[in-house]
Amino acid sequence: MSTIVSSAPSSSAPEKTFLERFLLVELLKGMWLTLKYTFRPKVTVQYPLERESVHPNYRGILRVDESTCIACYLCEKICPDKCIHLEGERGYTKGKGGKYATYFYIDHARCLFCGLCEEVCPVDSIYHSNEYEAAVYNRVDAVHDLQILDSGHNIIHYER
Amino acid sequence: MSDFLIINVVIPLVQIGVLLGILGLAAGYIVLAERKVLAFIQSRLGPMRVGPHGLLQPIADSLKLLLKEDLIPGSADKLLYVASPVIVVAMAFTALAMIPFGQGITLLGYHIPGVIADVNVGILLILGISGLTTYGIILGGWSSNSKYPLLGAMRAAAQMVSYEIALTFAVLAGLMVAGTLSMVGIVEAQRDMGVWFVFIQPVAWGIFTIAMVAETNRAPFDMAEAESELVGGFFTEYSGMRWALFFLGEYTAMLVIAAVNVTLFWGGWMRPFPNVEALAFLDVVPSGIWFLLKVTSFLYFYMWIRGTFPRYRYDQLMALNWKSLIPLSILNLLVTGVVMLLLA
Ligand code: SF4
Ligand code: SF4
Repeated sequence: MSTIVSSAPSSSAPEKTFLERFLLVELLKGMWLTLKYTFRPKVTVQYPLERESVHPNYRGILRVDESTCIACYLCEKICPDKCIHLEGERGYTKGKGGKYATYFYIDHARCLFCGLCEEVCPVDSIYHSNEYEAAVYNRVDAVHDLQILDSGHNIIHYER
Repeated sequence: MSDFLIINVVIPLVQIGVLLGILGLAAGYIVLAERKVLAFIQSRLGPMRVGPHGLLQPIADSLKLLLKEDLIPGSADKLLYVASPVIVVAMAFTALAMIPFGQGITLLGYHIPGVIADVNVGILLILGISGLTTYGIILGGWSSNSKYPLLGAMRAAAQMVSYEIALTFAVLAGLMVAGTLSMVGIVEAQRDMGVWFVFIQPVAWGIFTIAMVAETNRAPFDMAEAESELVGGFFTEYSGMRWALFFLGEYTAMLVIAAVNVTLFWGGWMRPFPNVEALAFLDVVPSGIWFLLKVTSFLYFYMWIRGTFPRYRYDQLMALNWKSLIPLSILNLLVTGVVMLLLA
């Protein structure tokens, strides 16, 4: 003999009286809730017109301060995606001695925004900015050269 | 031109033209209002980009739908596929002719009634014609020759036929008090008795209001569309202008049934408390505006419950109708009859 087990989930809500069910009390409570929400302030951010500011620690598009970089190759070495390429040489330019980067490319299409390059840089030259609008139509445009990296990422406006 | 021609041809034609012209635009704006109300309930803003606060969105939408490619599935039954949206819209528009929008005005010596066709069995005709909408839905679902539309159409048919019973019983209870089937007559009966029928027949009104939501296939009874389970329900295969026609039909049907509710239970075009002399200053507002205000409140109610309640399961939907609404409406009818017999 098998016992019949009720499959109905046991609910802890108190049993409703007939009058409560007949007058649809619970439904009216729900409608009161949605009515209150109708007049609450809205949470929508109208993106291109309004922008939320991101947290200062946000790992956005990479930038390099050209004047402080000592071309030590540490960032290129540690990058797990091998998306940093740079070349440096010794000389006296820009008012300082020692090594400086002659060219510096970061491929943001491959970057995983791990922040390792920022951490490893001995002179805090490479760093994540707070910019997040990195979308491009062309993969080549995701590769930023030293000039873009130093002066800041510009949103590219494409012509038809 | 003879008076006969003007009264019987010109005035109705003008009325029809005005009504259709307004309705074509109004349906678009009801959709916009619905999107806005739903958005507000969910703490969103809704359409904002086309025109100030999205006010031109309906025009952009209808332009888009008009310019879309006219697609008919290869395996569809072409004639019925093309005909069914037309049936839905035509039936909804026809029912609109019997709705009294106001008291009527006198213009250039001619009395223009507030209703296009004051049929003496108006409310029966409206119920009958709205019942025919089911054909548009079933044929649309069946002729698409695809599984989801067929399932949606079968659900819609079963649901609409079942809820029509409760709806009609609720209407009957109101009619017993009114003693007439004419839509204008019902409003006049409420004026003569000095009370809106919702206060005499609150249970019938409750049943009617629930059944009317189900009858127009609206959330939480939108089993026929049920986006989450049936893709798009009975009009899954429809697109572009034909799809828009279904939409127009749905919103017009909402308007019609809300207008019936207002006429039967909320005093039609009358101002609140029509018998209280102290409120006579309310008469400066034309009767048509009172009617529209009441209908708009019901349209808001439609959107409000759509934003509040989740969809019923199919068996719950049927159980609600057959186990609660129909017995209750019959009981209500019985009590009404006994009370009227005792009072007579
Ligand atoms: S953030 Fe990571 S992946 Fe990107 S460039 Fe730096 S080290 Fe490479
Ligand atoms: S780790 Fe810093 S200093 Fe070294 S090459 Fe990279 S950016 Fe320049």
